[in-house]
Amino acid sequence: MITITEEIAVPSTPSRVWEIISDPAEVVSCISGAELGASHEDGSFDGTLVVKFGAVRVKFAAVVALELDPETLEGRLTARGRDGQRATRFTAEATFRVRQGDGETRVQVDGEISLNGKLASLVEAGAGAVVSRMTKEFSDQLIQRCAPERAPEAAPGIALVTTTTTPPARSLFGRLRAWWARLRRKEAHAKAE
Amino acid sequence: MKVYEVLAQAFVAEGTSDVFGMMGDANMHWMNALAQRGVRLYEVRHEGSGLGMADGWARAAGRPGVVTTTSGPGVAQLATSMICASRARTPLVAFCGETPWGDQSAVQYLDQRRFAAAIECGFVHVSRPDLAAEAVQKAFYLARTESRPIMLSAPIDVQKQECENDDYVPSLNLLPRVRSLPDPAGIEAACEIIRDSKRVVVIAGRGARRADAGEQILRLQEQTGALLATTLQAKNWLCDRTGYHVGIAGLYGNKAAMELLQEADCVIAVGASLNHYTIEHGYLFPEARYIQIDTAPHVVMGNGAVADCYLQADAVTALTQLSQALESRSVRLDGYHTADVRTRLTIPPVEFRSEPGRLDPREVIQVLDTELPGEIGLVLGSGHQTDFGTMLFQRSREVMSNYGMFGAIGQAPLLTIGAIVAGGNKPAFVVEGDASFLMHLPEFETACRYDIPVLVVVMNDEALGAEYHKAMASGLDPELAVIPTPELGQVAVALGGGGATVRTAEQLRAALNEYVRNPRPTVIDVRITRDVVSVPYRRLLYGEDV
Repeated sequence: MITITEEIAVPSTPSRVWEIISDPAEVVSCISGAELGASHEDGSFDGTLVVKFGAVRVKFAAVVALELDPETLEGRLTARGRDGQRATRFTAEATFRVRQGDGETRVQVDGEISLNGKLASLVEAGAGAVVSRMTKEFSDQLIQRCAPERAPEAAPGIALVTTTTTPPARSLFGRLRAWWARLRRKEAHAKAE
Repeated sequence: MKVYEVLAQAFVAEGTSDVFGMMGDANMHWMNALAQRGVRLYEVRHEGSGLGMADGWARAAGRPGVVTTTSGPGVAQLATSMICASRARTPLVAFCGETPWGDQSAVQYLDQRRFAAAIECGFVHVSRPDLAAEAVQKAFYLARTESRPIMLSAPIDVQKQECENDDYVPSLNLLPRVRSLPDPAGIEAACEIIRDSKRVVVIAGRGARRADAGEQILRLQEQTGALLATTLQAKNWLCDRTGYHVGIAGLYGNKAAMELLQEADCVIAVGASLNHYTIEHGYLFPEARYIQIDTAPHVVMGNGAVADCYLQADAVTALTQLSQALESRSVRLDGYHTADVRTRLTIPPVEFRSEPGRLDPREVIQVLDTELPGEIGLVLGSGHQTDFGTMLFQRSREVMSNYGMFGAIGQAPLLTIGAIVAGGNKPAFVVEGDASFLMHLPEFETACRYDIPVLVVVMNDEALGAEYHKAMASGLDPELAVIPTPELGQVAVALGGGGATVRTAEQLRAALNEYVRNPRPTVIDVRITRDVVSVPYRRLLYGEDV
């Protein structure tokens, strides 16, 4: 069992952080080696993740479910899947909370990852270190994603008067996937009501 | 003729020339009869050690080794070494005396049949004088055909009875001598797989080496543009014959090798079972199709699957036919044989991290590899220090490894002594940890007594190295694994051999040169730093991409 307990300080507003962290496409873009797949009717979606344990590259495929509460800015992610060799299964559960900090936004992430199968013996204690590094990388990416977009350098003699909070441009495919994911979430929300 | 004489005669007929063990009431008559028949007896200081030597003897000779013990306590001492031999699939016969048949009140009574089962050993009982010779034949037959240790248990009262001395038929006469030829359809299927591939890896194992299939492997490698890797048991084989040798497939491969192997789309295994160490449960070859050449009727690989094309055949014959078939179909691949791959396989220089009075273990391996000629065989021991030698020895030489055979420390010096005896007393060296060497220290005296030219290089970090580094990674107190040792060079001299304790590379070179000039039982106690963590441990404990 690998435990994640991480508090990320993001120099941005809670609403901006929530906008990113509640969007699967955005979250995936913060994780190196991750890709988003098809969405399912129940609101879950497929995902793949390539992880390097030592010198060995392992590709996992998972079904991911995301429950979001925009009122409290809290979410819960569950993922369940196995690797390409079909030798190892994994489950992951994580909750995240976005709250206002002292001049910044704090994101509290608590989670557990369980590996069962051949890989578990292969990676031993190193899996925890790998997850720890991935969490750090995710934190760095999240901070970058949430940062206000830098305005173009002002021409000499022209005053810079505005800043923008527009999210970084995404590819058409990325925008479509994000739109689809949001649509599915709304549908799921409507059904729940 | 007495039964113990019939038994001894049968052992001689089976080819027994060297027996390791300890004498006691229940095997001394048999040992006496062996000595009268010219068999060399090696009296050891612990029965388990004797078994370790017989294991090494058998692995080197390729035929059953022999160990002997007296009844009960003598047998009970065999446990750890027996399980190691069993896991190594070593053909071996343990001649064990037994208390008088049926006397369960005897002080040395042990249910040896049940004990044998518990320590993963076959069992044959000498229950009647007229069946004694047949029991020996059966024990050797099982050891040879099942490639495992067999305990031949003989009650002392049965041994002392009279019986007829009939002509003995050695177990080898019961074994057919046939070459197994590959199925033509299998050769065809293998050609198709290779034709559809772009990056082929050939993995040569212990079976290929024993079959002397080196030339055929090199030809196939050249035709298919393949990388050549070996299993641990065939380490460094053919490394001086091709520029596309990547060393060991598995955890002991270097970073470049691991990356290149993961690009393979076809693996051809020759005399290699492709266990989970070699293919990392399949993760090392995620996209590959497998062709496997082996004499076994069937093999399940370390990923739980069977090969896409399995050729049950003698290695030389199968490889010859496969190469001919590829040539007739004009199948020829460039594969990995590019300048870029050669560049990637170039090993970058390492900056050593010594501390005062303690060497970097990587430098120690480099000095050993340079100073000890290739004719001097190598046995790799156990523990954290083994990783350095297993990864870094580059010179082509006979290598025996005990890694993965039950994980017991202390076995390697015993294996080395046995292997040297099997090889006609040619010098060999073993690289072992301090705790491992000290576990069976008295057997160095055995080596001195019989003038067996073993060089024990003790990689001495004055700790249980594996536990030290695992404790560090787990947040435990590593100092609990630190155990000081005396100067082992002086200990070796006191036991009747040569010895030195070295703390610099120059001192190490001088001690090695002394051994090369005058090979005799020698211990070189090399003090090494605990600050260098091996690559496999960095991968396993810290997930480092190194």
